[in-house]
Amino acid sequence: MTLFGRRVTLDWWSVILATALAVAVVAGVVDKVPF
Amino acid sequence: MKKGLSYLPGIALLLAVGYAGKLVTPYIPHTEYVIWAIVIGMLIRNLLPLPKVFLPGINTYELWLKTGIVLMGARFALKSVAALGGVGLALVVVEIVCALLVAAWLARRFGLSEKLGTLIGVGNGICGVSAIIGATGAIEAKREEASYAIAVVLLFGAAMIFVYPLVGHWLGLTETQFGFWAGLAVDNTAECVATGFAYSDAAGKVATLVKLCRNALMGLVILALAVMYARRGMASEVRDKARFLWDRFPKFVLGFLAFSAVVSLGLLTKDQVAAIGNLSKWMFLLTFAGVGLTTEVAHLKAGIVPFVIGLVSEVVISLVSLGMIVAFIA
Repeated sequence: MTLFGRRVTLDWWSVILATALAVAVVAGVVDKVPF
Repeated sequence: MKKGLSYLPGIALLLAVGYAGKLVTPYIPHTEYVIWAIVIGMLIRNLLPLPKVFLPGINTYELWLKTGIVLMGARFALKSVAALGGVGLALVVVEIVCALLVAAWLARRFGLSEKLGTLIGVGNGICGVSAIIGATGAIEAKREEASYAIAVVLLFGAAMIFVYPLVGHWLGLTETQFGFWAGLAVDNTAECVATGFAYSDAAGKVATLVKLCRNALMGLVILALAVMYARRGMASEVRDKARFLWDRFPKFVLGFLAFSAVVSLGLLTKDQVAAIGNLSKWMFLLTFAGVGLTTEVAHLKAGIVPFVIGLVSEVVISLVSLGMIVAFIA
């Protein structure tokens, strides 16, 4: 899949997604996550 | 946008199956939800006609696996990564050499092509399917040889999720010992992580870290094999070796290390680390459901000789790994 016109591999997508989730936690968008 | 929406039904199914596994677990003592997520997934895939609309989303499970691993970095201090990873790397080197030698010897003995033996050895020793695909191109093996090797790895990977925890409990292995064992001996990353977590959370963490050591060495081993086959005139020469290594380095390992570094620097609060750790577990829940939903028993046909070689090779690797772990890990 591409991001801003550049092809991004699955490995980098996983890093991007994980970072976005962590930022959401730090920003308080996601507060407590039970499991 | 339309393409993005096509993933939703399958992802919803992953969540439903994984969550069903979690709901069932309290009613079946001494089991982890991992096993039930995989079993329910396998039952659905193999007993019901699964509508095609679910397939794109189901096949995203590798993304959730890798995202879960990156997030899991937050559950490790860099110190533990260095300590466990250092020991892990040393054991991994022995395990990879053992896997390659055993598979090569067995292939010669059973009259299989040398390249198929190498592919089975790479699949058993390093990183399952992705290592086989990487090595197939590098040593110019046939597509059919790759298919056999992949079938062997998937077949035994699926079996190990169920067999290893039973054997581990029977042998009374500690969580760390079992984590090392699963990390060293189970082939595919998803199955390896699943096997570790099927034993316990702590074992799953160790198994994942040890498996990352194997994944990180994938480029080096494939490069060594490519150079060896090129020298014997059986494959083309690798021109840009640095590029070759970078292309084959699993980048999510860098993400894992970055998350571990951020936590080790004390940049996150305890609650934030706990939340990120639990997000990692949700990603794995989707992954384990995906492992079950993509395991088609009818497709796990490896051919009798590759099957025997795979079996003997897996047993030898399991025993060698177990011996090293009992000797060196508490």
